[in-house]
Amino acid sequence: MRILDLVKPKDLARVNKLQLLARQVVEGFCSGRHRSPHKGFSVEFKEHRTYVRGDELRNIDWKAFGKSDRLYIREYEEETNLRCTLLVDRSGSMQYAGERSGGRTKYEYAQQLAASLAYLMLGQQDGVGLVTFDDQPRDWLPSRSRPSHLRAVLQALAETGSKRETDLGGVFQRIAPKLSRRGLLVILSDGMGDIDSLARSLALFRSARHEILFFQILDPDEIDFPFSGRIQFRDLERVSNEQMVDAKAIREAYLRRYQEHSEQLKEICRKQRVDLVKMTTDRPFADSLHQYLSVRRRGR
Amino acid sequence: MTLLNGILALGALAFTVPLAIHLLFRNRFRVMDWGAMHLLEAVVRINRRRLQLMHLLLLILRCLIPILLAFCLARPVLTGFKVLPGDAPRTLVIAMDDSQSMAARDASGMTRMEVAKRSVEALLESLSRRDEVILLRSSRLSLPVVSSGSQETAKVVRKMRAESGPVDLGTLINAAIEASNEGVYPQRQIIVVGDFASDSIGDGAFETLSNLSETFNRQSLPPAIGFLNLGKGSEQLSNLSVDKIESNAAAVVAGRGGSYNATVRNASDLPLRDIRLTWFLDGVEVGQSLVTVAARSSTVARLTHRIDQVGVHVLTVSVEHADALMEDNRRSLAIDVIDEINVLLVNGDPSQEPLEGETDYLAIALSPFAFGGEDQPDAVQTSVCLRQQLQKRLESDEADMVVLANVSKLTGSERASLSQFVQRGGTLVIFDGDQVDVEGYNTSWTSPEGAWRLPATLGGVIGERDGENRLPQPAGTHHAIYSPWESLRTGNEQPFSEVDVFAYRKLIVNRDSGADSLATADQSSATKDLNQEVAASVDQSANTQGGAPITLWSLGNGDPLAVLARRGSGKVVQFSIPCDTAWSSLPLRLVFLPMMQQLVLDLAGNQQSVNVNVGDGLVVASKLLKPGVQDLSLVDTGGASVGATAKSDSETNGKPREINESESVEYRLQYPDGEQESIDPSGDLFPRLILPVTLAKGAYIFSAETPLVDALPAQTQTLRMVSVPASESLLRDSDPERLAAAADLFDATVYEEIAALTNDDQQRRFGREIWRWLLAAILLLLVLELFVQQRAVAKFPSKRSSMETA
Repeated sequence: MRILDLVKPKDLARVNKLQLLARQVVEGFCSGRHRSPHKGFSVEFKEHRTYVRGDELRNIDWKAFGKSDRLYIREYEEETNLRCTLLVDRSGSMQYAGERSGGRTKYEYAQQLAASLAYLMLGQQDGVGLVTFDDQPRDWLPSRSRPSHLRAVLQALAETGSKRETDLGGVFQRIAPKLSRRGLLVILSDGMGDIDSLARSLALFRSARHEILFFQILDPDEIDFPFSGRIQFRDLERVSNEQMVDAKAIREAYLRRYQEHSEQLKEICRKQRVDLVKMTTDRPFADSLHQYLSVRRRGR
Repeated sequence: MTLLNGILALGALAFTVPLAIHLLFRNRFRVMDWGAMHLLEAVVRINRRRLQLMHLLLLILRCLIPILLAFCLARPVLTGFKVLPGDAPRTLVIAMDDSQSMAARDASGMTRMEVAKRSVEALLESLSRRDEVILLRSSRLSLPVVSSGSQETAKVVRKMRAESGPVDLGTLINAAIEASNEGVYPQRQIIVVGDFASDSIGDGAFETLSNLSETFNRQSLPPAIGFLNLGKGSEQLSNLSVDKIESNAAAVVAGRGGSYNATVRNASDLPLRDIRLTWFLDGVEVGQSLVTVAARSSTVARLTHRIDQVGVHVLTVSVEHADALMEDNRRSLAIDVIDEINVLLVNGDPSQEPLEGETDYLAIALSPFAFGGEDQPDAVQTSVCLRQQLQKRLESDEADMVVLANVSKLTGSERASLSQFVQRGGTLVIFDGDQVDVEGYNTSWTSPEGAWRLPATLGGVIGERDGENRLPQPAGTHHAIYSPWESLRTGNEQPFSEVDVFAYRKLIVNRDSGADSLATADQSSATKDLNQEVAASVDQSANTQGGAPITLWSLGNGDPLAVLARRGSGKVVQFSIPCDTAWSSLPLRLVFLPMMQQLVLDLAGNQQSVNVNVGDGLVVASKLLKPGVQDLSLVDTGGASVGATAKSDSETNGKPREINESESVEYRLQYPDGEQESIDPSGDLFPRLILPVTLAKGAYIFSAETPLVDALPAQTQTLRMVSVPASESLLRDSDPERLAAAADLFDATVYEEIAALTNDDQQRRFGREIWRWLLAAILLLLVLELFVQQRAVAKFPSKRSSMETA
């Protein structure tokens, strides 16, 4: 699997120009472009600290001792690379493709976006991990910064989507303990599911001091519900679930419900300081991503 | 309930179309895989019940619309409203107001009469051939009731013209109810068509209606009454009218200038300036002026003109102004121009000294120009004689009036001559005095033609006749009903206030008619036919109120000073004072001259009424048409042309030609529209030409044609002018509440359009058609369906319409 199998060269070139910069400091192994909160032995001095018993003697700044007759420990600021984990929703609801999206499902859109992000991260020596999930985690690739890791990521993304239900809250709660080191979590999902459970999971991530980026991928049909006439809606996640409705008759109620759901999602993201980026499949993801990152860079 | 077009009700089966569509589309749907079922499920769960109800409601509405439409086209009739058997024949009485106010035009230029005609014709068209129609015209209520078919009635209605006088609603409805009682069928209906002007429902009319309604409502099956009011909006119409023309003198004497007033009224809210007013005498223009009439007021135009020729002349006033009622912009007045009035003064107390004779003051007052030696002719020519000469003078002279001034006891032959003089139309004026034989005057005045008594019985003398210390009694006022003396009030509201009465004779007014048991042969033998009643009524329409005396002037204490009564064809006036200064200062006062002039002119000159209101009868003494009798024959029916009489030879000789009773004289009457017919005189002793009722305004010309005289037929003619009262020019709506109250008395309904009337009639006879209600219901359902549909489904962007199925 190559990156170009998932992403068009044009989109890739555009993404390549971007740098996904964590707004806050993340931990990493490689020296990248991100500052680490760990004070170590890197080149950049950070501060003096009063010596306490147990500190290694080699860290004492003897020059300072000579001048002040006090023991100070010399501390440095370590530059580290970004550890990013892509959480890609491959549940049944992500298999929907409306006419306006040109037959591209939300999952395909997520695949392309995830591949692009992985390519971008690895290109700037950041670590990239991947978790795909539906009602439970399916593929799990730990974060690596080796360029060869891209292949593994793409391989995992190439898996077809499932027809199982979404359970964002449940899945995230299972993933959270395994992401011990803090980093950037990029969620690619349509956000359909229990909002309360999702809120709890995000809170869990935030307690582990992860920075979270939520790409909510939606089909435009889900936003404006442009249907009319009698339609039997068949659930993509549960086979036996079908709803026969007069689409025009319920449109207003649906839109109200969608709006309500959207507001709730926005609210929990705001509370947890999660960046929520809404993307529709009728729009090239590179545009949406470019727009978001531009905003983010200005915010930094 | 019945259906007029029952077959169309089958169209209700069209309700199956929306039902089929509903069922068809119920099984047509498309399947769509959907991801966001998380959101959709909640929406469907909550709205499922509401959506089902909405769809059911929509289905019902869509099925109801074709059902109601078919039902509407089938024209259902609710027979529950029916109160009369629908197809039974009925008697319809149409009472139409053809008064002049019906000629008022609305903004479109159509007269009310034209609207009335169209309405009645539409009503007649809706009748069946078996229905009986009785047409009553307000101008012809006294004529016999004639029933006819609808087509014949329509022909009559088309010829109707609005030119009669005011109509009284009470009288009209009374006549209509009586006419309906003569109908053939038990089902009767009365339609009153008119403008229901305010004066038609006056207090009197309302009282008549109230009384009438009591008997009306007692009927077991009273006729249904409807009012078709075509006079709505009269207040907005502007109208300029010539309300009145009057002569300022009691009588017009040939060769003497006379003044005439024309009252022009502006009934609009805007002042009218410089309106051209033209005077015509016998069709020839005699004067012109510009008048300005303020809004809602009237003005008076005056003409001074001398008429030289004796006879009846027509004076016409015309104003040029386009308004709602053009018919009243022109009014005519017939003027009876008389020759000098011959007054015979019988001096009961002559004297050689100036102004000491009993009649000296009176002679001067009646002929002031002659007394002053002026050339201007006096209207009155007086001659004085003694009692002994009276009979001879009566036989030889043509005295129009005889004045007995303090004349003592008259002989039997003198009394008979005077009685006959009065019976034949002469006027007798009696002045009291100290020589008057009371007993003789109080006895019956007998002649071969009848007997009569004085209007008042002479009593004793009250007050001091002589003496320096006598105290005067204040003279009161004249009776307001005696109009000739109204002119005396000009400049002085109390013209008799300066007159001192020291003594007067007590006059006890006889309240009876004054005719003795020796009634006239004519009267005793008279049959009570219609013509005589009309003649009597016309006679009574003169200034005197029939035989009953009226007090012309009285003292402050109420005792009469002058009493007037009609006796036979003439009149008798009694004064309780002399005409000299013995008992009063009257002859010395300024008021004496005009008072006597007006009295004489009125009594001598107004013996015939030449102007009557439309609807009144006309009576012309046939003697007026005898050749030689001076009576004008100028003809001016339209005011444009003047015709001259063919004067008889005998007239040129100055004496009436003696006509042998066996000679056949042909009398003719020409109506204002030019139609002529023969007319026979009625009455033996005093033959009269009688037209019981006048139906239209204009000049009515009576003519007499005698056999050949010297190889030429002799013809004389006279005219009577019939006018419409000025109240017809008052275009004023009746009070709606009053009209409604009048309608309520008869359980009648007031309509403003014939369509509403015929609808109600149809409803009463057949039931109520409800297709309009159904149509309204359909429209309502359509709106409701649209509303429900909009409520049931959300608005949807048109660009997505391509996604719609079916």
